Amino acid sequence: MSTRVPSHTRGRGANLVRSNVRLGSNGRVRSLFPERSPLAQPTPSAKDRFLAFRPFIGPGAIQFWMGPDAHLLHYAIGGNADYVNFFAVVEYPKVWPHADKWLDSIEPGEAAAAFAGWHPAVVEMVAQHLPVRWGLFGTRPLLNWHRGAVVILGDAAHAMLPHHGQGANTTIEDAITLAELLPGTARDGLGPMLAKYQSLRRARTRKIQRSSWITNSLLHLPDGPQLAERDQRVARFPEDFGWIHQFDALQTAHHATQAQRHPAPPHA
Amino acid sequence: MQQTEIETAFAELVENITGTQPARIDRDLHLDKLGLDSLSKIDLAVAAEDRFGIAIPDEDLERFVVVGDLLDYVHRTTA
Repeated sequence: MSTRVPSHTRGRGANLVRSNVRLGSNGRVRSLFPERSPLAQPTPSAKDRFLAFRPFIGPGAIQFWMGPDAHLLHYAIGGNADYVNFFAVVEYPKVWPHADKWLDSIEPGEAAAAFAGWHPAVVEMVAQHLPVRWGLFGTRPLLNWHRGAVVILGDAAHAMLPHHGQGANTTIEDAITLAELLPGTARDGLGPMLAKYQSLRRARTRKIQRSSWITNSLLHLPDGPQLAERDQRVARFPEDFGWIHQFDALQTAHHATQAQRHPAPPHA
Repeated sequence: MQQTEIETAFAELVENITGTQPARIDRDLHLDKLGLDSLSKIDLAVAAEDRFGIAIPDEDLERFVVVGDLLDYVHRTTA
């Protein structure tokens, strides 16, 4: 199977090139790499996620509510911001009980019980019956993202907790990187090209994966003296996470291809 | 892989990532003195994985305090 990959042409829109590279982006592709990816086991941890839509009940800002072993995030969505999307995350069950599904039903009142005693706004949001919980999973970092003409990206390569909102974004970054590197690559140059793709993407995505876990702990701290430091860190989120949001995948890949095509002359 | 080989290659990786001259790197040097925190340590771990062909899981990486911890890990896992 050949795959059409958009080729970014600066200032001239996008076109399509035909390639013989096979792309994989969901978790099942991991089975292609069993012996070279000893760490590719699902992390045995899961968290509940309740997702629902509610009439807009507050200001349009993104808002976090943090407490022991749980947090709730809500933000306005829709063309006129007339809905609020919220999700509530709790730390149980630590081990997801289902091997074959990532959605599960919850008992009426279970979500409300998990947030009993929280701020009235939170209590109101979770008071309705939320019929489903989502297990949240990550994968351990992989060593190899390609073999032959097969390459993985997105969740297949670096599934992560959603606390930085980067699951889809990093997948797009992967795709942009491949699209920038792929054009003009001869069949016998695929290996080095895919190795370059991996080298451009692996450290960054692993850091976001790790940072998502660190942020999970920060959001779920118990009451105590650590909260003052937590509040200071949350206030610095825009600056501290600039490395995530200000990254330019296209420019990074473009510079890498230019450096490869026009290496600097050796020092005299 | 010989210990001295590992130390030489490792010092190059550290220099590439932190700009620290190899002569300043010794086993007892704290990783945070190299300007490496829990996230930037990942840059070093990924470079070491690629260089030495090993895996350094996050949970092991978190336990490394000084340069020698990483060197010993690389030596053990490449033996």
